[in-house]
Amino acid sequence: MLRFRSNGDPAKSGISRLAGWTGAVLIMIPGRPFVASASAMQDTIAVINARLYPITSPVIQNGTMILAGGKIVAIGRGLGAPAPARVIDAGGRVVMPGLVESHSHVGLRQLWRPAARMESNELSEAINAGVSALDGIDVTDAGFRQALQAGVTTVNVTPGSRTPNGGQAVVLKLRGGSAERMYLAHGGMKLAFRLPGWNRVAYPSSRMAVVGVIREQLIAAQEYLTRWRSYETNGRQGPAPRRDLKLEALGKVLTREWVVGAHASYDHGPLEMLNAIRIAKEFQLDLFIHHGRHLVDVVDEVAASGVPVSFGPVLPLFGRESRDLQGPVRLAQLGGKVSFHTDSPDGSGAHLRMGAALFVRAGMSEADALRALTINPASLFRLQGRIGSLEPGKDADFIILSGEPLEIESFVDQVFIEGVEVFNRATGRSVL
Amino acid sequence: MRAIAAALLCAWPAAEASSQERTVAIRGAEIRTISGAVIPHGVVIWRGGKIVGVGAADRVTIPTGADVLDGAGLLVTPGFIDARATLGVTTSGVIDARTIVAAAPTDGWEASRPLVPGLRIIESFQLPRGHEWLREGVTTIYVTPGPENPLGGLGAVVKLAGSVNGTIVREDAGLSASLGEVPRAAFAAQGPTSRMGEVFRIREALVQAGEHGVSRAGPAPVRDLGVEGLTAVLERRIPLRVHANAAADILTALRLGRELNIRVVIDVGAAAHTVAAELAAAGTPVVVGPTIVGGSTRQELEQQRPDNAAILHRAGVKVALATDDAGGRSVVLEAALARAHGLPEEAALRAITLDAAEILGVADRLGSIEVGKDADLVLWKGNPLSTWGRTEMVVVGGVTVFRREAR
Repeated sequence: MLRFRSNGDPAKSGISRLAGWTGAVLIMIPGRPFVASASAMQDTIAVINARLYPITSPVIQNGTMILAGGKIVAIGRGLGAPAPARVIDAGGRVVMPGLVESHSHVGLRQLWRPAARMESNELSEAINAGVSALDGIDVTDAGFRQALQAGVTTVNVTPGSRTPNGGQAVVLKLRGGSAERMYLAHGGMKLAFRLPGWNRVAYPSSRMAVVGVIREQLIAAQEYLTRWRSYETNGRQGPAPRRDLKLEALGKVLTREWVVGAHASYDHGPLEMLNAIRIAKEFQLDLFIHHGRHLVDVVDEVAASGVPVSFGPVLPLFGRESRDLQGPVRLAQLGGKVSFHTDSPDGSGAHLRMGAALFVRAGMSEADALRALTINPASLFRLQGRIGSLEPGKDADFIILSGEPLEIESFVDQVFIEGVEVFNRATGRSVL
Repeated sequence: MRAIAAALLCAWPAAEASSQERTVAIRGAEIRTISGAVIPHGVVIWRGGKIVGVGAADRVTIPTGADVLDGAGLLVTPGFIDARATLGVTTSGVIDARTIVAAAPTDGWEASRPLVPGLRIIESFQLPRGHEWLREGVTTIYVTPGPENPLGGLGAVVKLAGSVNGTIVREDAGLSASLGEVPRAAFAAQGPTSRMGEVFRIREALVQAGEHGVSRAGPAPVRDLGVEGLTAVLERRIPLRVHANAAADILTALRLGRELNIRVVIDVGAAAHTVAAELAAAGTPVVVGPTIVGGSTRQELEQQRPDNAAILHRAGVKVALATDDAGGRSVVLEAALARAHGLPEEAALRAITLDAAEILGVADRLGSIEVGKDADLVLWKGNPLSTWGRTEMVVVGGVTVFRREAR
């Protein structure tokens, strides 16, 4: 049954669950001791002596971050918890939010295993809107471990991109266990404006037909919504319309309950970006772009559209042409929202942070590059209220680094998800 | 030369281009000579494409009339070398080729037959525009035929500045060989279809080349270009560059080297760290990389790891680093990652300069800042192996081919 939610923002509900903590947050005044209720003290953690990179506010030297119930309850200087259950001394090291990978196929595609090489694609038809990545994930894929140990705490696992509609993506937290246990949020619908990667001759086989089939199906979904709305408004008189899982899913795209990620890459990246933006305007979709190869050629148009770009894979593939590095640099300068991704297994989550370093070498500011690893990708999935920065009320997903956040020779020493240590380089502990 | 520089830079101030005839000096920079000690406050002087002076600023006299550049706060290294690359010989369609098209036509390897030792990669090489490497301080590469052919032809050392072919340093720097998963997949139809079959074909070709022209009655043998390349290997004038990733393939390459008394260099070497002692005992160098990789369709690459070079170095193996790529990856980032994973900074720099030059057989001209060597120099702001390291100026053969414009 269709549900029409005016507010599809799970981040807000996350915050509202925190209502009990807002009282504590309000008394987080720098220089004053932290006071919390007795029940909250039981799982209070103080991360002390940290160079805090909150991302959404300036760096705090020698800072403290107080966690409780898996959430951040305060950050600042001179904070103290009277008797936290646990103190993590960062020893002057950098503490920043866990990295957010905005586009990967980890768990779906495992290249060297022939049987799993193409598991991210359902190739039997063009529009696979009912297919969900969650149903195809193998949690034993080493790509999860590589990403976690490189400081990635949240991953968007996306199907596609061989068909115009590859299906539904899923956002996971790398806390270990089953895919259901790692589930954080729906990852939106994956469209691909490229030539389909059919293993046979089938419709569509041209770019114009790709746009055509996407448009046709969205119109069909509009009509489907209309049928259901009139059934509901008529007090459910007569027979209910037949359910169609594909159109039901596309309906959530039309009502903006789900975001849309559009693949635009390879040599026709610019054309595919413009096609995606055209369709998004036509149907009022909440769009972001995957890959954005040759973004530099349409960066003004993309910036003007306000459509965010998840750029990549940065390493090893997209550094191929120096001009391509300038696309995200310029989009960030123009006020556009850039995220980076590795497209694992085409790249590796192990190199997400190093990819950002490549853009710093190419002229991007450190602040823009850090946002592109954290709050920007979080916002692609409307999770900016929950992850992607160190702020009171947000999930305690953070990493401790041995050096500067974007320095190549810095290592991720520890990774925490909701206050729980999930990777420790010194002890070798790793939940994945 | 200037036209190429202009193409690379779009707007090139002609007046700033150093002509080879002028004497040019950088003064006050930290000089990483590689061959000797670091000179904290030094001078490098070049003229006619060659380095004519290097030393401490208070000991080396700059000739009057020289153009003097202020290097205060900057750092000078030799031009970096990528010891195995396919820039200029493969098309940009490789991403599609791997997943969509079974066998896209390529200039990088000869698909019609497995053994082509007479081919020369320089004849497929065209210096592309718009690549990042020169601006990253990479001035020289070893261009290799692809690993598809068990014997793939002669690899070349070229500088990334100059004309269509760049600047050729050596067009016969090594003979390409390949073991493992790639050749048997590429030649599944006509063979070899197994690892042992690959080795047999290589061994057979080398043994037969050794017998070619051996004195016998009758007319002189006809000239055979393939035999000439193989003979250069047999006479130890050039190494057999063996693309080998699995430990078994690496050990096979060492066995071939012992058996035929030839020089072997291991290329890519994903599992080289597992046989470091054997490589050290054989004195066989390894061209490591890339290690910045995602997943692969090839199981033999699974053992690649970022501390591969560090482990080999500790075992006493001479190491160069490589991207094995057509322009996307960066050998400077490979060196940065290797350093992060335990390769000492000095060794990491040597692996993309002097050690690479020695493995490629061009150390008489490249790889260090010494009088008499080519003036291939990079002026850096910040450490080259850091995120914050940036090239300020790149000089190839005494000619300034890149200069960062003031921001």
